[in-house]
Parts: sequence; structure tokens; C-alpha cells
Amino acid sequence: MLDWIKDNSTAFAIAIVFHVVFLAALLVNWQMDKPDKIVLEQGDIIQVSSVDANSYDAEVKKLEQQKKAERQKKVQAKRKAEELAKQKKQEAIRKKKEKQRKADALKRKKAADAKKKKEALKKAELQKKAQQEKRRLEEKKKQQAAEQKRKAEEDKKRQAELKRKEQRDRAERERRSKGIINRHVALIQQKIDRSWRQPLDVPSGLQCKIQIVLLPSGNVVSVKVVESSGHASFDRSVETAVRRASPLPVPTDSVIFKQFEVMRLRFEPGSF
Amino acid sequence: MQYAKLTRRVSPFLLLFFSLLFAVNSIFVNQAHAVLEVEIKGGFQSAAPIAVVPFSWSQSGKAPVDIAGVISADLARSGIFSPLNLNQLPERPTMSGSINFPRWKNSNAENLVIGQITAIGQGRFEVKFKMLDIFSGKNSIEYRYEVKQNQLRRVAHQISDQIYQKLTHTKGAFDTLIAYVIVNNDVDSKKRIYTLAVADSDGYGEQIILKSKKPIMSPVWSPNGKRLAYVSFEKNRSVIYMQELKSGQRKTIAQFKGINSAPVWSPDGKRLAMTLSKDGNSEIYVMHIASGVLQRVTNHYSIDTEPAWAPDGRSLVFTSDRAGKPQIYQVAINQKGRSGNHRRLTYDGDYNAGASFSPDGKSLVLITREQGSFRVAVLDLANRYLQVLTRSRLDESPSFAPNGKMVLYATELRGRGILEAISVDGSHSPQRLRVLSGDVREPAWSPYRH
Repeated sequence: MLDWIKDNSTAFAIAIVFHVVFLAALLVNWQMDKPDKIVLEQGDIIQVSSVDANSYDAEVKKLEQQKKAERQKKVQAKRKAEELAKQKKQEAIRKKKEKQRKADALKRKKAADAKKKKEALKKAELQKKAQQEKRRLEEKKKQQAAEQKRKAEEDKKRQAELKRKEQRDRAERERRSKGIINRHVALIQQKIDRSWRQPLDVPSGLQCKIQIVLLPSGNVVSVKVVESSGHASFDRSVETAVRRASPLPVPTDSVIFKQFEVMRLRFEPGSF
Repeated sequence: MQYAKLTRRVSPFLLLFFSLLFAVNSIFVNQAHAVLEVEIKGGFQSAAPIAVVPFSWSQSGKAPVDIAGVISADLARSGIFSPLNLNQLPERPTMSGSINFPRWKNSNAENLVIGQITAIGQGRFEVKFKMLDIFSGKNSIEYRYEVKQNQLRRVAHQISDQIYQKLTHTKGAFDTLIAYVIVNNDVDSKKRIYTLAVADSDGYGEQIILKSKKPIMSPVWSPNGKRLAYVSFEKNRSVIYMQELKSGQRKTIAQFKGINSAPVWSPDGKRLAMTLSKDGNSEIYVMHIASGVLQRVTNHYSIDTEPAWAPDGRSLVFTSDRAGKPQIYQVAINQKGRSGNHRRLTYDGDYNAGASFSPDGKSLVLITREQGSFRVAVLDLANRYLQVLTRSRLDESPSFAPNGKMVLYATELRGRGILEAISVDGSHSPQRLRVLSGDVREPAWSPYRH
């Protein structure tokens, strides 16, 4: 029970508040329902008296005056009664009105309380709902985070795999392009070697280094002596060899060709 | 020669081996560089193929001189060029605008020579030529000459010199002369006739300097190329003469008792070294030409002869058999006529004679006996290495071309003397010079013409 209260402290509090309010309302109502005091209304009372003749006139007059006064008094009384009645009536109305007002107020209060209660309930409901929603969201968030984490890990894994594959591919490509490069270097060497006629009128032990620029077709665009042999005819024989060997057998793969676009060739006569 | 031939036969394998070796090497070593580096080790050495297209001729018929033919022959004779035969020419352009370069690239040639000969009246001719590099397409050289008909051959030689100089960066020696002695048997008198002649370096354009029924020997050029000195037996004894080529005017230099032989001009042209036996034995002397004062250089009981000046004029080499067999010795000469100690230069074999200096003074050309034959050889003075150039049996009187690249000598073909020239690197066969008739001896190559 206590645990339950603890668990539902808000609801319990709301319930207590609700009961208190309800009892208070009942008390007030019971006091209000007590019957009003019965107020007895007084009828008109007529006063009679005898008068003499001589004094009739006077009497009469007196009477008359008396009558008049009485009349006046009567009128006055009547007016007073009327006034009183009126007052009473007004009072009754007022009381009724008051009663009505009170009833209305009570009613309103009741309604307000009900409304309040309803609202409180609603609020509690809402709060509960909000809490639930919050919990749900939190739960969802947690799940999402977990999901994200899982996904991130998966991505990471995938990426690592991709990277490994890329590395494998690159290594494979490199191996393949190395093979292609080596083969074409050998082909180029062979072709230039066959075209390289050295002059007879130069000393032995000469060397010459040139830089050449090639088109993807293998055609030699330019030949520049980088390190001269010191003998113009030897240097020229090197240039002629390259130009005679043009177009050089370069790789058709445009990426691998990049390595052949600018080449340096070192020329040294073989042993004769 | 033997060694060279052997290694040349092996070379293709070596080439292949080295190519492969270096192919592998270069790839591994140079992969790291941004620029691909490739090693070309091998190639082959050969004479440079060159195309000399027959020059156009402005008139009908044949041109007075086949200039292209003369050039081709000159270049071929040098040994370092191999001109294409006419039937190897893919086309015969005479103007550069009409050259079809792709066709020439497929020919063997590396350079292309074209030209025109035009008769311009009053016996004069205009010769134009152009040499183009077939592979770079650039104009190498271009010249124009205007000459009389009898100078057309000389123009051809001058063109050869231009080509040679452009392609080898060495001055050509085609526009030079050679002097030599021809021995003919006169049919009527059945006696020998000796002729001293001068011709172009290719043997054409021969001019007779002296004819005699007695021997003429040892013609030699003055350093300025305007005179010849020689020995003539026209007075029944040896006399050294000096003769101006243009005027024919001559002067007796030495007619001492005994032998007067082997004259040779000092590089400054003021002295003549010679062999005289006036003092009893054949010795070397130097004569101051203007004063006639003699300076004795050698003094030995053996035969000392065939003096030759070093290019600096400060020493002579000569042949002496003072060691029993003919060998070459060197002796220093000073201006005061004092000579220093002599020094033996040759040790290979039992016969080395008739030496003369290369123009750069770094080597001697001489006749050496090898396997019983007398052959032309070059002695490298720095390392004393003797390289035999010829394979003939009886060579004599070798002399360097003024550019030092070739040697002219006389040799024997079926009992008759002929002239041959050979490249000093010995990498190719000798080139025979045209000789009209008779037995040709003792050639001497002139200095550059001025």
C-alpha cells in the first residue's frame, strides 16, 4: 500500500485534495440547505371609539381630524405595511436571489471543482501520458543510439573492409602496372638500342643523359641533353637514336603512360 | 685488328646481356624517382649513313662535275661516313621544299645533302648546297659558291669539309693536296720515267711538278703549302731541291758529298731537317734555310735517317739501327743548334721506321714489320701502344692528313705502287685513291690550303 502510494504519490495527493474539496463542498451545502426563519406577517388593526355632539363638531372635527389622522395613520400604516411588505418582498427576493446566487456560486463552484478535478485528472493524465511519452522517447532514443552505434560499427567495419580491398586492389594494380612498366621499358630499350648508331670518331667510355618528352602515341616530342658526353657527335647520335626509334612502344593505359611522358635516358656504349 | 674483329663478333651477345642487366637494374634503382630513368647500354658503332642526292644542273645533259659524287667519295674515304648508293635513295630532291621526310626516315640515312649547280654565264657556275638532319628536320648547313669550271671539284671538296666539320666537329681535310712520285716505264726508250705530281686529296686534278729520267724521291710540303722539297737524282747524285708550286721556281738546298736525302720542314718553315752523309756516315742535320747554316743532330756509326719534326719544333724523331734493327728515336732540338739526348720510342717488333708526327703531337705514324709484312701503324706516345692499321704486305711513306684523322700511304697491289688512305682509328678498311697509271710512291699529304 505504502509502496503503491509512493509509486503513485502524485495521484494519491490528487485524490486527497479531491476528497478534502468534496467534503468541504458538502458541508457548505448542508448549511445552505437549512430552512429560512418563518417571519409572521401582521394584519391591519382598526381602532373604534365614541364621540359627543357638541363636541360633536368639535368631536366631529376632532373625529374628522382623528379620522383624518387615523386615515393618515392608516395610510401611513398602510404605506408602512406596504413598505414593509415591499421590503419583505424585496428581502425575500434578495434572499431568493442570494440563495440563487449562492446556489449558482455553489453550482459554479461545483462545476469549477468538477472542472478543476477533471482538469486535474486530465492534467494528471496528460502528465502521465507525457511521462510515458518521455519514457517512450527516452527508450526510443536509447534504441536509436544503440542502432546508430551498431550502424557506425558496421560502417566502420565495411569501410575497413573497403579499405583493405582498395589496398589489395592497389597492390594488385601496382604489381600489374609495374609489370607493364618493366615490359615497356625493356621494349623501349630494345628499340632505341637497335636504332643507336654510335659514331666511329669518338673515344670510348663516353656517356650521355637526355630527357625526352613523349606523346601518348609514343612519338618523341622533344629531346634535351641533360648531361653531355662532351662530344657533339656522340650526343647527336643519342638524339638521332631516340628520334629514329620514335614512336616508342609506350603503354596504352593512360595512367601508366603518365610515367613515360617524361623520361630520362642514359646512354652508354656496350662493350665492343 | 685481330682482337677487334673477335670482340666485334661476340658483341651482339654482350649487348643483349648488358641490355637485360641494365634493364633490370634501371627499373629497380630508378622506380623511386618521379621521372622514369632508363639505361640504354649497347648500340653499335658504324660509319654514319648519309645521303648525298645528285645536284640539279641548270642545263641539259650532264653537269660538268658530279659534285654529289665527289662529296660521297670524299665522305666514304674518311671511313666514318657511309654514303648511300644512288639506288638506295628513296627520292632525289634538289630543293628542301620537295623533301618527303617520312620516306627519308625509313631510309638508313641520318643526314641529307641536296644542291644545285647553275651555269651563270662567262664560264662561271653557282653551286648551292644544304645539309638537313633527317630526324630533327633542322637545317644543318647551307652554303653558296660561285666559281669557274675548273674549280668545281674544289668546291665539292669544300662542301665535304663543311659536312665533315658539322658532323664531326673536326676540320675536314678534303680540300687539301697530295704530292707523290709516279714511276712509269717508257714504252719507246724502255727506260723509267719519274714524275713528281700534285693532286687533290682524292687523287683527281693531277698536276705535274717535275719529270725526270732519274729517280725523284721524298717530296715534302712546306708548312704554308706553297712549296715542295724533294730529292732528285737528275744530276746523277742526290740533291735536295725546294720548289715553289705556283711559279715552278726552284732552289737547290743541299748537294753535299754523299747522300742528300729525306728533307723535312720545321713547323715554323725556317729550317729543314735532312739526312746527309757528308761527314762519312748517314746522320741527321738541321739547316737554317735562309743562311744555309747546318746543325748536326746525330753522331753515331749506325744509319740515322728519316727525320720528322714534332709540331712544337723542339724535337725530332728519326729512324736508326743503332740497336741492331731500325727503331724510332727522339731527340730534342734547340734554336742554338744543340741537341739533347736521344730516346728510343719503339720496342714492338724488329722493324719500325719512317715515322712522322700527328698534328697534335700525341702520336706517330710509322711503318712496322708484322708477320713479315710492312704495315702502317700508329704509336700512341702517351702509353707507347702501337696500333697496326693495315693488313697489307708492303706499305711505305705514311703521312697524316692535316686534321690528324687519316693517314695517307703507298702500298703495293700486284707489283704496282698505289695510294691508300685509312682512318687512324683503324675501324674500317683502307680507301684506295685514284691513280691514273704507273707505280705510285712516296705520297705526302699537304697542310690545309689557305
